[in-house]
Amino acid sequence: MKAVLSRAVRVAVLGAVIVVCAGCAHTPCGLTVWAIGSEAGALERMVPGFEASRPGVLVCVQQLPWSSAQVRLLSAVAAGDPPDVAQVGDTDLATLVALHALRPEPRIAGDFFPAALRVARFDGVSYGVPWYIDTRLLFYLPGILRRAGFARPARTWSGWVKQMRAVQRILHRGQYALLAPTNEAEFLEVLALQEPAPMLRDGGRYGNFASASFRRALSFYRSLYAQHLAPRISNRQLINLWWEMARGDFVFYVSGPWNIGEFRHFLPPHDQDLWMTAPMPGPDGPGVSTIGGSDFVIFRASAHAELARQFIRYMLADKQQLRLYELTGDLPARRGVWHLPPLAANTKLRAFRAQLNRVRPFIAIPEWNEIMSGMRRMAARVAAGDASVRGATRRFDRTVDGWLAARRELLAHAPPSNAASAARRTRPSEAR
Amino acid sequence: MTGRRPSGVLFVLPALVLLVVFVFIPLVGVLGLSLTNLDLYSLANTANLHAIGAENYLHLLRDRRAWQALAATLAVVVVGVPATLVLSLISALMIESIAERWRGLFRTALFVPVVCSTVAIAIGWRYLLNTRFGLVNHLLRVLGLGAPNWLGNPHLAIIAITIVVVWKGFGYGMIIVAAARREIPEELYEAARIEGAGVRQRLLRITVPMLAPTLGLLALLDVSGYWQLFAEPYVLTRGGPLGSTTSLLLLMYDRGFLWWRWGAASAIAVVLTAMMWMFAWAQRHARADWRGE
Repeated sequence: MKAVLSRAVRVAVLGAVIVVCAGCAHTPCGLTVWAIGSEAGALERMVPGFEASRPGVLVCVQQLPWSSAQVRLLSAVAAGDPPDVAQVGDTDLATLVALHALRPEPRIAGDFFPAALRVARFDGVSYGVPWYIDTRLLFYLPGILRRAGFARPARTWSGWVKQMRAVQRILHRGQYALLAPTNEAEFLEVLALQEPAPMLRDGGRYGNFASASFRRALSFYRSLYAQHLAPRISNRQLINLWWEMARGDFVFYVSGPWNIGEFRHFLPPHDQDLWMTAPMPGPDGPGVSTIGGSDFVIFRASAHAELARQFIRYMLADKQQLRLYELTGDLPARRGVWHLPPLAANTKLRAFRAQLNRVRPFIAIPEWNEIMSGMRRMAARVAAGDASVRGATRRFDRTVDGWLAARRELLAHAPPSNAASAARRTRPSEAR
Repeated sequence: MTGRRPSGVLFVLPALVLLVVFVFIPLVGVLGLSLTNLDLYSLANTANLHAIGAENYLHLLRDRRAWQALAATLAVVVVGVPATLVLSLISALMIESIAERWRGLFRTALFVPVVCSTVAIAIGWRYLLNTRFGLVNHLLRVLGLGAPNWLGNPHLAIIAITIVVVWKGFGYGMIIVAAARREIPEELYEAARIEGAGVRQRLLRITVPMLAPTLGLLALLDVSGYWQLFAEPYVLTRGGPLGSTTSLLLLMYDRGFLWWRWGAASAIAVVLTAMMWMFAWAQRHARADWRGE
C-alpha cells in the first residue's frame, strides 16, 4: 500500500513539474501574431517573406476561429498575456480599446479608405491599422432582371421595389425576388444607415430606434416580406445559397465581398455570368452602406512594438495586399492597390469600389454587436407580423437603454467622449 | 456495511478533493459573481465593480427572453425525459426479444447516435429537416401531409429540437435497461405464466416494477442532461426563430461570452443549478413515496 502510494506521489510530482515547465519555458517567438479564420492561413504563407528580410526573427502565427476569436483575445488580455499583434474585426475593436489593452498607434501612412481609418479612431486616437475592408451591396441575377424588362438594378428604394415586383411575377412558385435571411441583421443595418438619424442618440447613451428614420427603414424592411418578395427564412435553412441563387430561387441578395469567392467556388466557370454586383439603392438615389473588415492592432503589453510596426507595414505593402486578395478574396484597405491588375480587371469588384466611397461607419462602442443582435431579433419579430413597427421599436429602445446603463454611468464620471477614453481617464495611474 | 474503516476515506479523498476544487468552489464563486455587476467596464477598471445585491435576479424576473428560455428548456425536459424513458424501455424489450444473431446489429444501430458528436448529428438533422430538400419533408409530401417549415416555425422548431435530443439520448437508456432486464430472474416469469398471467400482466406486474430503480436513475440522468440543453439549438437554430429554441444555457452563453455581462450570466447559471436541484429533489421524493406504498 505504502509503496503504491509513494509511487503515485512520485508520478504526480513529475506530472506537475512537466506542466509547470511547459508554462515557464521560454518561447522562441520574436513576434506572436493572432489571426482569425482563413486570414490566418494567408498570413502564415506571407510570414516567411517577412522573416527572410529580418534574419533571426521568428514570427509565430496563432489561428483563431471567428466564433471564439473575441473571447480568446479578451481572456488573454484579462490574464495579462496577450500576443504582440492581432487581427481584430473592427466591430470588436471598441471592446479592446475600452479594456485599455491596445497601444495607440501613430497613424501609419497610407492611402487607406477614409471610412476604414475612422472606425479605428477613438476620441481622436487611432488604435488599429486597416488590413482589409468590406461593405454590403447587391448581388443579383442580370439575366432574370433583363427578362423582367430592366437593364440594371435601380438606384432608389421605390425603383428597386418596382423591379422586385416585376421579377416576382415571372418567377416560379417557391422562388423569390429577394433573399433577406431573418437572422442576418446587416441588410436592415444598411437600410437604417441610409436614413438621416443615427441609431443611438446622445453620444451612444440611448437607443434611437423609435425615431422616424429607423421606423421608415424598418417599415420598408417589413414590407418586403409582407408583399412576399422575400421568404421568411433564416440562413440556417439554406443548403447551398450560391447554387440556389444560380437556379433563380432568389434574384437579389444583399451581402459582402466574401461571396465573390463563394460564387466562384460553388458555380462552374460557364455559370459565372449568371450573377453580378451593384451598389445599394437608397431612399432617394444611390445609398450608403456599412463599412467592415479587420484591423491590425498592437497590444500595450507587447515588448516588441517596433518589430510589430514593421510587421504591419510589411503586410500592408502592395505585394502582400494583392497576395491576401488572391488567397482569401479579401478587399485591400489601401486604395492604390485597387488600380493594380488583378483587382482592376475584376468586373464584379467595380460596384464595391463605388460603394466603398459611399459608406457610413457604425457607432463604435463595445455594446454595438449586442445591439445589432437585438435589432435582428426585433426585426424578425416585426417581419413575422408578431409586433408592430411602433411598438417593437419603442420596446427595443428601452432594452437598449438598459444595455447602455453601465456605459452611461461610466460617462457620467468622465468628459463627454466615448467609453474607451472614459475608461482610460478613470485610472490615470496607468497612463503611459 | 457496518465495519467502516478509515481507509475508505482515503479512497474517496481524491475524488472529493477534485469535486471541491472544480465544482464546489466555482459554484460558490458563481454565486458571488451573480451578486455583482461584473462586465466589460469593471474588467477594465475594478473601481467600476460593485455588489448590486439581487439586481441581476430581479432583472431576470422582468426579462421576457429569460422566461422564454425557461419555457423552452422546461418543454424539452418535460416532454423529452418521459419520451426518452419510454423509448429506452420499448427498444430494450424489443431488442431482448429478437433472435440472438440480429441482436448485436440492432443494439449497435440504436446506440450509434449516443456516441456520435452532437454537432455532427445536429448538422445531419439540419439537412434532414430542410424545408425544400430534406428527407423528412420529402416523405411527408409523399404521404400527402404537406411540407412544414421545421426550423423556421417557432412552434415546430422546439419540437424538432426535442426530437433530435430524444433520438440522440434514448440509446444509452436502452443499453442500461436491457442489462437490468437480464438481471430479472426467469423464475418470476415462469411462476407468473403458471398462474396464468398474460403478456401485458407480466410486463406491468414484473418487468416494469423490477426495472423501476433503473428507470429512476435514468430519469435523474436525463433530467440533468436535458436542463443543460445547448449544442442542439446552437447548431440547428442558434436559438431562433424568434428566440423559440434559446435554452437557458444558450442565453447564459450569449450574455456571458458574447456580451461580457458575467454578473448577469452568473445569475442565470445559479437559477439553472437551483432548478436542477429542485427537480432532482422532487424526483427522489417521488421515488421514495412510490417505494413506500
